[in-house]
Amino acid sequence: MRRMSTTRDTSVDLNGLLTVLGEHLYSTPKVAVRELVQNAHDSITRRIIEGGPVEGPRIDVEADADAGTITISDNGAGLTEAEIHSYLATIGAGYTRLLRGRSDDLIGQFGLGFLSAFVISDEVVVTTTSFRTPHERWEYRSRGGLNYDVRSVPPAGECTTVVLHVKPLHRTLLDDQQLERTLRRYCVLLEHPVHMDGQRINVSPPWRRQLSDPTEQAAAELQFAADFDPVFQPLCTLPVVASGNSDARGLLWVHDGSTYGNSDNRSMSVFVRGMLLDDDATDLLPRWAGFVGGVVESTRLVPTASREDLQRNDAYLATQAALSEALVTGLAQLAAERPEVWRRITRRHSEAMLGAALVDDRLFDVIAPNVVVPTAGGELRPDELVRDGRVHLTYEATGGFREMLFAALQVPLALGFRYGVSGFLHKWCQARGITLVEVGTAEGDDALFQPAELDDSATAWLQRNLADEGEEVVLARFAPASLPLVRVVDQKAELRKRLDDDEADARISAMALAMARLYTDRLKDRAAARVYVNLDNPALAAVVAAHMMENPRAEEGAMVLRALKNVISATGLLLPSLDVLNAVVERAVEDNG
Amino acid sequence: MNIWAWYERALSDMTAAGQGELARKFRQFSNDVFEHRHEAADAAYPELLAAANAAGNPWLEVWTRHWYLQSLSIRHETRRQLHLAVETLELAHRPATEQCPQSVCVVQDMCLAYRAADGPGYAPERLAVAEEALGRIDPSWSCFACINVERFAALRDAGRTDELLSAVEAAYDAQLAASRMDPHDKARFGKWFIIAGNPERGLALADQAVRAGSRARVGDYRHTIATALVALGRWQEAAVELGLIDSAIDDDRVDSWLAVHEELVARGVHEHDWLVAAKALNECREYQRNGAHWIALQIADRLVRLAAGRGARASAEAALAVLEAAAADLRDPQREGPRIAIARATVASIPTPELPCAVDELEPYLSEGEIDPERALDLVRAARGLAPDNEGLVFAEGRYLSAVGRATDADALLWSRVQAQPASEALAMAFLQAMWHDAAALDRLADMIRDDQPSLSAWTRANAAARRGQWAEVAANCATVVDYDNDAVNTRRLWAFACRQLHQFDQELSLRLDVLRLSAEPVDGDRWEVLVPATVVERWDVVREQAAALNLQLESEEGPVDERWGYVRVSYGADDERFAMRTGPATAVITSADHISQATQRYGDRVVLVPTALYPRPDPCPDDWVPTLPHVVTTHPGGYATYEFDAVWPGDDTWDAFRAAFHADEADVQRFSDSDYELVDSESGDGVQAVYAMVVVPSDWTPLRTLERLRELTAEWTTPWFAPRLAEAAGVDAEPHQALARRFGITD
Repeated sequence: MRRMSTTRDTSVDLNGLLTVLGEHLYSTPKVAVRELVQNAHDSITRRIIEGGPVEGPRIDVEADADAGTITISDNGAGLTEAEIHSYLATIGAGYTRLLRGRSDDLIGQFGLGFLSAFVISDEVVVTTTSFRTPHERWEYRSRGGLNYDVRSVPPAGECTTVVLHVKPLHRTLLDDQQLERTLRRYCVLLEHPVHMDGQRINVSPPWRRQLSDPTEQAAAELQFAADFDPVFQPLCTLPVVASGNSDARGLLWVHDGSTYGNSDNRSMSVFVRGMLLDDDATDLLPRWAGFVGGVVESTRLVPTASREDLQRNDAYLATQAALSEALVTGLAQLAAERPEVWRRITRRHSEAMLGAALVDDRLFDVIAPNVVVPTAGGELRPDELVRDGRVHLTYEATGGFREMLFAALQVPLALGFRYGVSGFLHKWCQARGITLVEVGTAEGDDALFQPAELDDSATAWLQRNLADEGEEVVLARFAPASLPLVRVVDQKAELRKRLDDDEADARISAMALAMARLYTDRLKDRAAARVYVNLDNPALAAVVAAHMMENPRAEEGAMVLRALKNVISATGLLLPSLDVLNAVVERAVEDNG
Repeated sequence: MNIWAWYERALSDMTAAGQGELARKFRQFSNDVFEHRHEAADAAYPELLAAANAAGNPWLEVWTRHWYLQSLSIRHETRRQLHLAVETLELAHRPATEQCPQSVCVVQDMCLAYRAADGPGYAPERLAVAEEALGRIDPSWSCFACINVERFAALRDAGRTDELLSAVEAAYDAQLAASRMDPHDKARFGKWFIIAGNPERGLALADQAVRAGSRARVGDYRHTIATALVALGRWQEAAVELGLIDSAIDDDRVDSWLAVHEELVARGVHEHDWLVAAKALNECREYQRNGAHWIALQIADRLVRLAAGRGARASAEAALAVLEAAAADLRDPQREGPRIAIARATVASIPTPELPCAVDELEPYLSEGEIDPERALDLVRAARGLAPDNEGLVFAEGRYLSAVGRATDADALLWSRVQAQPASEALAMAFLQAMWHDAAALDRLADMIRDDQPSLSAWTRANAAARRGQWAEVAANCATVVDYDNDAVNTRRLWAFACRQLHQFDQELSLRLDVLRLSAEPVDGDRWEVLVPATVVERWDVVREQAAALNLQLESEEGPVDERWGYVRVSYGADDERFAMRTGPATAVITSADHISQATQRYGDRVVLVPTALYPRPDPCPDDWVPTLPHVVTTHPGGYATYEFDAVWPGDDTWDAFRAAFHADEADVQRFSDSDYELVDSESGDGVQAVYAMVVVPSDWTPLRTLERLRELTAEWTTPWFAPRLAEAAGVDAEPHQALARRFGITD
């Protein structure tokens, strides 16, 4: 048995290569551990392919903080001496060229993963026995990778052991908990067992086995998601199955933690052949799914050179489409079959759901019946918003006069300034032929008041006595009857007035102003404000009756109402106090009738 | 000048002030617009506008409006854009905002709106505005390219194309000299180099944009490349770069896609089939509807030519209709007269296809043969010309219109036939079925057939009212239908449903029993429905009769049903459910107290339920699954008041005795915390097991009586308890309770 040692140079500018690997390709030195476990895993696979079944295939990883080492052992194919030399010899100048040029082609190149050991180690010692030459054992030893020694050592079973003497800079990797987290993160889906301190790290993910009891299957999926997601507890899981041109399979889960608005808490991890390649593949999920996490495995997705990102190719697009489909169909199925879960989702993510419903029509159909919409009086389902064939929406963020009015009328007022509400209700109402009244806009306010009529002379009298300059009296009937009149500013007319003002000439450059006036010139017939006069109001009815009877106090009653109009508009006077004021007006008119 | 510097500062300040999430939303908003996620922009815009208002930051409001205007512009929502742009222009020139750099951007927004509405019509004004704005800025401003693009567009639309190339070159050189040329700007200049007659340079710039620009905009840039390649006569390459119309629809650039497509069709590189035609027509109509008349007009013009090129008469006519409508909406409705005359002549030149068979045989012929739906549509139209009153052909035309993606035309056709033949039940029913979801359309139908088909009109009206939740109107119209048809069953079901909403339970019961009587074989669902009104009006004989028919075993044989069927959840609406003991087929007593609000206290309420679960029983069904049943009406209010009660855990036995004593008083104590619940005693610093509960007492107990009873029942306790709110309500000194609350860290 030979016991001599040979020292050889590595025929490549390893310093440069390691810098590229360590500083540019890999986002974290932990990836080096991943690469070495991957090598060990490949070695077992190779032995099974070339030599038949392996009894108890196994990878062991251990850290020794005192010695400053991480040891990775496997009972795979092992290496002969010649393989050790050719293994490094293959890392020729070609790698550097590849790195500079077609970097994506590096993937799968034998040996690159091993080189990553030098990113985190001062010295690497590999002791190995090839299953082809079970009586030989070889020790490879290299400091920094620039040159290496290979020597024969006494046989000690058919296994390979890689000992990394970790650089001081990366000593945190030696922490047991840290190392275990790293392994659980990167190696959780590897097929052959990976152990650390005797404890198995990897699992068979739930989508690879179908339990006969669906409840147990659901529990297993939820547990997997809970273990995998470091940030959010899962609320429920949705399966991802291969479809179309996508072979991706795995799990999606809805976060139990609340999101609001357009929060983007997407997370997506992609495993290729059991190894985590991209834990930030969020673009695979649709942007609206800010409340979803997931993990998929695929053989078609192609990593980039760093093996930490994915190439945007046809397989990527197909996976994107498949995940979007899995989400929409999965959510639809939840809504139909697990309503208690679905309700929880819509409570947790109601705003995000409203936004999502705008993006995807099928999702809209799923979401619409059960989503809740914020209103001035709490959250309601869309169908609960409908009153007298209409849905009412406000953009006023603070509780103003209109909010008070709607509360008095017990008509729900959806809060249009909240995320997604306006767009969602527009779509919802349009689909049902229901009128959406945007309170605070001219059209919306018009829709609030039911038109009414009086004879021309009474109408003209009310116009004279209740309207100020630029105002138009509109006869109407509306609830509550205690409200005699409402003044509503016409925003378009206001805009025209501001742009017609001489002051606008000073503020706005001439040509831009002229162009703006092309638009506002079309609005010249609009009154600045409309005063909706409520013929159902007893005080107003009394004043009108007094006028008809030529009662001289009618104009005084009208004056009070006119004053009241301005007070209500300006302050949002509380409706209950109107009863008192109405009585005052009625009595004033009657006393002298 | 960095016109966004103030914005970055404002967002940093917002983050520093603890509103990082809001700052993130503002950033996400502009990203969403830039990357064409308009639905997301729609969702966020009102919220951000309100936030800018609430923050008292008018610059941020101008910024938010500007980005939304960009979104509206990209998707050609011109009518909304024009109003908002004018409004924002005024806002952006007030004293508080005039220094905001985005006041210039708003000028661009306004120009864009006029460009889409009628490019040539407003070209002089647009040119003047762009040149005026350029006078206010220099090439270091990041809006330099934007305003220049508006100037180029105005020059082109004004017919001054001979000045275009030098204008583009000068602006490009000036911006390059200012060292501010990002990939997106390169693509924009590239596009205008192509239009100005230098496609080589345009191609080179667009190529650079593809390599370095945002991934989300690569589709746009590749489109520019396709335009350049067409100009260079590189047809095959152009076809590869152009892509499918679907991505052009997604990115709202159907107009320019179609321009390249038409060139490629002419060279035999692209095929113009019915599917492309239908998709383009739908987009074109939407643009026209939204006020982008000039863009719609150009698309429609091309679609007429393309349809004529393959002899598709119906498609050409549809495009011509949009062309005419768009021209009528231009600043000068007569201006495009010559173009319309040509288009009309083009459509007129398309021959009407000869029928391959007799009119009556056409439908089987079409359904058996593999004929594309556009061709089938032309054949059906030709047949209808020969047999205008053939209802079967009307339906066939509707089907083929739908098949070519023109569902709204199919509806319109059906409607026009209903108008022409209001007595046709088949037409009216077809329209009712097609538009069943649309209350406004149903109203139109009801009006139209009122005289000829009064019963169907009332039924239609009832359905429209049901869509709107107008239950009294539903009931009135159902009554009308029943007057015409006394055996109507479905009408009675809808009427009964309306009665339930109106709480007219006597009437509902009568109608539900009618349904059973009129049904040859009553279904279980109808029997369950009878149980609700019968229970409300206490017709226990009817309840028992239907329960027997449903094989429900009741414990007693007469009188009210009051049993213990197990726990259910009672749903009062979207987010309000209570546990209850079901006491019969459609009754329950609420058993959970509300610990939030006295106003919605429902403990002890006797209620009537819809006896069918709101959600299906899961399969497999967990052991602890409880059905949820919707609340119909509360027949007997429970009359209980509740008070919060906190305590250090007194021990299991003590607690059980405490509860038992309350139960003996016909009151209750409901524990809301679980066994892990702990409070921290600030005196010792230790965590102690604790309980948070509600004391439920008859509402005729005064708070003082409740407090005294608590004192009696806890007299032997060695552990402290406190109920500050109850003490306050009882009018006694609440401080000892409040002190304990503070000690154990309970604060409001």
